[in-house]
Amino acid sequence: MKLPIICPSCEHPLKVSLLKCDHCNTEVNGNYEMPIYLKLTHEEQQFILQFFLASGSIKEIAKQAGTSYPTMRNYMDDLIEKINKMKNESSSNS
Amino acid sequence: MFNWRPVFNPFEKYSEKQLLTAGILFFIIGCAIGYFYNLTFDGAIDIHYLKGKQTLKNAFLENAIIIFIVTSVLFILGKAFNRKTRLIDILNVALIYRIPIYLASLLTLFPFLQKASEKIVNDLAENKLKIDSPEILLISLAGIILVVFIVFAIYLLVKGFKIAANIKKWQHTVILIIALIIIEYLTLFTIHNFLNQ
Repeated sequence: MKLPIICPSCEHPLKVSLLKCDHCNTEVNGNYEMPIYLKLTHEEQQFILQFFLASGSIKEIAKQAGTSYPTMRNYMDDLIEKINKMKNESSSNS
Repeated sequence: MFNWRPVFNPFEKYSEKQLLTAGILFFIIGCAIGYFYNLTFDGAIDIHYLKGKQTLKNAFLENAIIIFIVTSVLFILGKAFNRKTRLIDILNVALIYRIPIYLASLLTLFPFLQKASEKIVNDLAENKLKIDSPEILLISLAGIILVVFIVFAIYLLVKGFKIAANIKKWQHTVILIIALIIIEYLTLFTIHNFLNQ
């Protein structure tokens, strides 16, 4: 099941308000910021995971995805830019 | 249904080795077309008939000079836009964009087009050329197809460079177009001055 990260009503980023222990049913209420990794789309999360599993080889994941090296590198560069922007936004908010 | 995406954007899908192999193969074919059919590729997007006989050396050098100039200019530009730009990706762009130009040059070899062209020249000399003659129609049609191939070559060049240097800003595209005009003049100047044509 995919974790929703965007509000289906107003399209703003969602936050975590409830965590539950499956063992003792303890519930923790709050207003927690989602980690940056979880704020990314499912596709972007998959890319990061694949990149890690391919020992950080762009060439290898490009081969797996059936795309060229520069296409994959550009995708990664755009993703880095997106994450840096998100980091700057969250640090300026806190 | 046939997937046209790799045709219109081969740089997105194929690896550098595949593109380099195809590029070199078509480079050899292009040189052979120039040599055997007396054509000169005397600019980045130019194809002309030669009055004299084309030599194998010049057929090779023309294409090599074009690819060298396109690669050099675009690599400098690519590095200025994005330091991660690789030489192999730019070289592949310079090799692959020429494929439609080589294919377009084959169009000039059809005997019926050559006959139509000769008839137009003769009719013009004798002052009896009619604007609605079938020869004019045929040559106009061939001209349109030729332009489509040339436009496709420029499209591949721009698309390939955009991927190689990861450019997205419109300002970069404008600079790229200016660079392409410079490349055209640079290739024309070099080939006409150093190959004695």
